[in-house]
Amino acid sequence: MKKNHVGLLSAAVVLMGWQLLAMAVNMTHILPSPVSTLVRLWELRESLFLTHLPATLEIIVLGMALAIIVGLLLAILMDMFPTVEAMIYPTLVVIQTIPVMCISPLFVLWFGYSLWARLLAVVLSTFFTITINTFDGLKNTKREMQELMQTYGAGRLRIFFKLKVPTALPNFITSLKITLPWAVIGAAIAEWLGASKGLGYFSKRMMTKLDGSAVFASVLLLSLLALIGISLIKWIDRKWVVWRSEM
Amino acid sequence: MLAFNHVDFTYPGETEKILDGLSFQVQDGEFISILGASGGGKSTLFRLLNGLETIQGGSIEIDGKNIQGLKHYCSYMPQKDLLFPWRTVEQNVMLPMEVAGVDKAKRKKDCGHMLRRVELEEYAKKYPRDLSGGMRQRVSFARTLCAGSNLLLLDEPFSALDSITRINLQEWLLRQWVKFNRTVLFITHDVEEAIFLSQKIYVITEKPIRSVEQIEVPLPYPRTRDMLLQPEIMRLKEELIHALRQKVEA
Repeated sequence: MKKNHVGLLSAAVVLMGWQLLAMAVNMTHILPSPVSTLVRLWELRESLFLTHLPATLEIIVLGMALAIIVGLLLAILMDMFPTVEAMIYPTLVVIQTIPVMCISPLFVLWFGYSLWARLLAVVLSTFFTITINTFDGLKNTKREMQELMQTYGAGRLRIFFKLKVPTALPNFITSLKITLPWAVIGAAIAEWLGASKGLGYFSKRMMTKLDGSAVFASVLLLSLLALIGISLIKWIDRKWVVWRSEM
Repeated sequence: MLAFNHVDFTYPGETEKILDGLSFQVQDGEFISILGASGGGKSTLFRLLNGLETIQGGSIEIDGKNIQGLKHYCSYMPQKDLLFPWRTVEQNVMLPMEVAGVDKAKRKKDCGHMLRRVELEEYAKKYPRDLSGGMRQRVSFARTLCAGSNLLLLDEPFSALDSITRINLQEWLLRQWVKFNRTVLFITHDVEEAIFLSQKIYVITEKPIRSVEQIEVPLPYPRTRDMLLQPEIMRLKEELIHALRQKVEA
């Protein structure tokens, strides 16, 4: 039996078990079943797909874009100037240990219910990993290759674009694969704490209405977002970063 | 003509001298092997020629000009092929020209020409991972030629290959040398390789290097492997092994 067949089979078993358990408990607000979740998803499709999903997607995409910009910039600076590395690396580690969930309320105080508060939560949960992975990638550059470029007369800029960037690319893509789910979680948490739309906000509102199936419906969409995003990154990786195994 | 004039060199931060007043010359078009035991400072000679390290005394000159003011005067081929895995064979070969700012059309044309000459044209669009070790070295050699200078510095280019591939590539390199008519400095620790390939062998037996012992190889070109069995050559081989062994034991 193929690996993905096994995966599908075990998923089916879990779903069936869950359905049976939910039917036995018979309290949808506490334990919604897979079927009731799908039913709610269908019933609420208009507001979920047209209002809340786009709002969350916007935060994830903008937040990741910001995190990538910040992360790449820091990684490049740290690679170019050892002093910068010594200065900011410890700070980065400290920032990484901050639980976004706990600090996000502060963002709401600072920025109100604005987009910035939510973006900050996404950036904070992702940029560290992007920075460190990319930095490691840049550091992986083989000295001999760099010297070979020098013997051709290449300066720092040429060496950076023709050698360092391709060397670090596999690491950078890996960091995106790792951080995308965190971006989704960060966005949902930020919406829980301060937003007027989005899947996080929606699930919180449904929670107060004791509509468990609707909560699960939005969680399902969040998971799907992460899964689709990761598949996309994996596809790009396979298609464009064919030298990964040779680094 | 290449000339080392009383060159002194110590690696920065270290006290042990590597070169101490070393002088030697290489004439245009010559094939010269630099033979010495591992760790004897052979590669340092290339690092100095390449401009990767700076000498502390004396001068290195090409056609009477100090290399410090020169650019693109030598092409270096490292021991490992160091092909970039994200570039096709063709793109790898074009790299030196890209860095030198040669325009795209000329790059493409020269590269095609070069790949034909090293008998690899059908692999232009392949990636290094699709090639065998020997083929990768040939691509690396083509890339070295594309750096365009007359002086080729080959740093033990065949030492990581299996013996049959190595023999094939040695014969191949000699054919290339006759074809391209460039000056070759070839570093090796393999006595037989040095004898088979070169017109002259510069033997390094001391550290720091104060001088090189120059030995002419009394064989005409084109060469064949059975020439290595001539009594005179066998004797030369024994002498060289003896000289190198003394150095290792010392």
